[in-house]
Amino acid sequence: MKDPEFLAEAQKMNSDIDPMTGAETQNAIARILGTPKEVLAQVQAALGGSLN
Amino acid sequence: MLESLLLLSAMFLAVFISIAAPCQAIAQDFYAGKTISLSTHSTAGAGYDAYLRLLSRHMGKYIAGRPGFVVINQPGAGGLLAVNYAARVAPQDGTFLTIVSQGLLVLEATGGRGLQTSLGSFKWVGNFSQSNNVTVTWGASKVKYLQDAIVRDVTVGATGAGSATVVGPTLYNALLGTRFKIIQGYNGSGQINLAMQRGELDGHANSTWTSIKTTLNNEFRAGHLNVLIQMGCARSRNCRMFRCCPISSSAIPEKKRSRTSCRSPSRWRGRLRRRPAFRRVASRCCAAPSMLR
Repeated sequence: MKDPEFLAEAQKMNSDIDPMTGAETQNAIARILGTPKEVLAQVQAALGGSLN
Repeated sequence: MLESLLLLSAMFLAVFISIAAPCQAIAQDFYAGKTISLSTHSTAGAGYDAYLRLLSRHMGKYIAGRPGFVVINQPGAGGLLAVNYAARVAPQDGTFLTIVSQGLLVLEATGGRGLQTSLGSFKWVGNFSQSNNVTVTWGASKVKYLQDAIVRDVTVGATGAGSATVVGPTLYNALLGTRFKIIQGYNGSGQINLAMQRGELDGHANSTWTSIKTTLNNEFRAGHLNVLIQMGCARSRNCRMFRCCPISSSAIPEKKRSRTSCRSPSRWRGRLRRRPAFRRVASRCCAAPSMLR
């Protein structure tokens, strides 16, 4: 993600590069999947079963 | 509580890549002569696809054995088809990577159906961009601001139940009282954009800003897009470009919040007043554009 040619091509494509490492990503996933139940209950209520 | 809810909504905005199996110690020449498949749920030319094709042109030189790369498009079921294939069918030897639809994280967290594995079981190898999601309408649509989406129906396209294009507008409808009508069945963001451009839909809800910038940059620059709202953990650096309003609670610094001014139509203010739990969000949505830079 630091390769100059990669970044130059991304810029040409108008694609933002704002990377996270594998460990950071893994932590973010764990954090999301570990969301407190009361918050999930609110989200579930807001979604109203639309994901099923 | 609301802030946590919005954080959950925002956390899945990133673009992730996962590998189908945990990396084992790999021999130096393991990849020599091999091809790594990069799978995406998006259609050719869409945002996720563009990122993967970009990666495919540069990643090989950093892997011993210099493998080749091929991008595979596996659209369907809001990204479920691609991720389930990666988990259940694809080779588990490090030659198959997939990029996961952001909406699937909420799907799993909230107990939605269709995932045949836990996203936590993947080995996540990185993330291209932490882009906010934006909801846009085409210039010809009568819906040009978030306020308009509260007083009239807004048709937006979506792929399938697990996708961000369903999750986002559904949450907006529940939290902000918008009237997004979600039309499912499009096979990807390219189709949704085309439908929007020919007037079949008002807009495209909850797409990553990077995707919009990559696929509709000329249209955006030419003023053909109205950006109604963005969702994210932090304010976008592009706020000054589209002057829309983050709903994330962290979008505007605390010290500036008291100086926000609401300039929305009285009907919208009235609706939001009847939703006290979301009053704070509304006031931030109406923040002066200069504060969003």
